[in-house]
Amino acid sequence: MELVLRNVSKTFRTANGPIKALEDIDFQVDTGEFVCFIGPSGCGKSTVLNIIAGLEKPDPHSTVSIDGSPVEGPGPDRILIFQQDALFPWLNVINNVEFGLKMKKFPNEKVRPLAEEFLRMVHLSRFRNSYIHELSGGMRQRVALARALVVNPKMLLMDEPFSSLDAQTRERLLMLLQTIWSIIGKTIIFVTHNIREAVCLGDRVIVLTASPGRIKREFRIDLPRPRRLGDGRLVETSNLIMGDLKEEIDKVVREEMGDD
Amino acid sequence: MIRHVERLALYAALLGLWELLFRLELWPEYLFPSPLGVLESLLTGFANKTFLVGILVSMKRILLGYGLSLVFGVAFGLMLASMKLLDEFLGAPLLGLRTLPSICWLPLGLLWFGLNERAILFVVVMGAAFSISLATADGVRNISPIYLKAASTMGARGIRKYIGVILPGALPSIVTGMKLGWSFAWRSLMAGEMLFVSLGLGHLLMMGRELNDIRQVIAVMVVIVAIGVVVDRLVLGTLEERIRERWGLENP
Ligand SMILES: Nc1ncnc2c1ncn2[C@@H]1O[C@H](COP(=O)(O)OP(=O)(O)OP(=O)(O)O)[C@@H](O)[C@H]1O
Ligand SMILES: [Mg+2]
Repeated sequence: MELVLRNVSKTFRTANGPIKALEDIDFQVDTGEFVCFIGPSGCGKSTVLNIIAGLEKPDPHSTVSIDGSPVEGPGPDRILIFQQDALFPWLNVINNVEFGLKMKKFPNEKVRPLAEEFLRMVHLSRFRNSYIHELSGGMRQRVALARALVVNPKMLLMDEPFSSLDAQTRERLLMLLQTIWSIIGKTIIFVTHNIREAVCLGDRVIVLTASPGRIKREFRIDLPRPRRLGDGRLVETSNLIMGDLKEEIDKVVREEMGDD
Repeated sequence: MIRHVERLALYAALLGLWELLFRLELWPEYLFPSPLGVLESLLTGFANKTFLVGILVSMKRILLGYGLSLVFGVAFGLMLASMKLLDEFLGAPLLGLRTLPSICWLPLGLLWFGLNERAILFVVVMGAAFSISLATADGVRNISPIYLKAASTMGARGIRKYIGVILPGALPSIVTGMKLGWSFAWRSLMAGEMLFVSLGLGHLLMMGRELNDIRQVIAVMVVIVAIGVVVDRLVLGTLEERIRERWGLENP
């Protein structure tokens, strides 16, 4: 047992009154597990990750704990990877990868070799001296992956990391991520709004309801790995989950249309 | 956009017009010199080293004053941005003080420091530091929250967070403030030098007036403009462009 969320709710206070983003979220993730969250836009997927990352405080009476100790703030045992643009443009690729190590006061002479090793893992050694604005979107996300993995976190929290990439690049990154996961065996919590992506990656896929986000249903995915997006059984499973998700998306559409 | 050749031709035409006006003898020579006369005075000034000394003295003052305002300005800007209370109390008065023409600090500087270098340094620092602090604070407030989130999940805290993320994140805005600060600093230095400090370009300007040598006055003005432009465009402008490009921002 590793990560446990119990009765996690989150209410944002805004100028237009409180917004309930999450309600009574309960789940646990075992060490080394790959769990995907899907849900319609605005259902609170990013909020769940931010709470686990310690960047956002849940409402009172919510508990989030890792290996039995409560989460009280951000820490390098949980690294968050964003949709895009979270690399530092003032650092070149290798310095971006080294950033977390330097923050951890890792021994100086070990920083560079370790960063090089993880850059190799995402096949970007050639670009070690490039600056971020010189890289494609897919390369940037690979650097972000290396930058997260190099600090040896217990878990990776990924917030729609591939959603701004084109189909081919995404397909390649899905393979790369599966390969890396099979080698390093980290716990990964992955948020997406793309069902096939979720089924491709997850040991489990958790569907959230439209806002406020609650857990609607959980699917265990037992397909053999590595999985490909086009695989027949993957598509079948995705269609099964689609029914559930469609219901929630329709709710969002109806609500937004009904607004004015 | 005008090409370089056309631009040069235009400048040549303007100089030609100036020379033509001079030849028409509409005004006496001591009020309206010829461009060649100004050039001659410029060359003499450099040949007998008075201009070189003036440039060196002024540059020494500006480097010291601008350097100090950079250090104070950035430090104070970081404080403003990280202490909400300070910002609420001082934000508005600072914006007001920034509109005060910097030479207005001179009487205060004279009373505090006396008739010496430190008074002029004070004026230069007051002229530039406000713009730099306000730009720094602005830059810090506008750092993309995603950089801060990424940094804090990777364990950035305290001084490391400032050096690793906050300062570089605010740098594009700081450089813009530095450009503004430079123009204020240079202007206030010239004003101060004209009023009392010996040597320096501002002093040469006044000397030209005392000698009734209009050609020297204009020649010194040319030097002052040249230095102002070189630093603004070539040094700070290039720096700003490079930084904005690397930071992935388009150039304004
Ligand atoms: N800092 C905040 N202040 C106020 N409301 C917020 C804040 N962050 C999120 N919310 C609200 O909480 C709800 C959930 O937001 P969240 O970003 O978690 O959704 P999401 O599922 O990640 O959406 P998307 O798929 O579009 O990224 C939304 O209604 C949003 O408006
Ligand atoms: Mg989101």
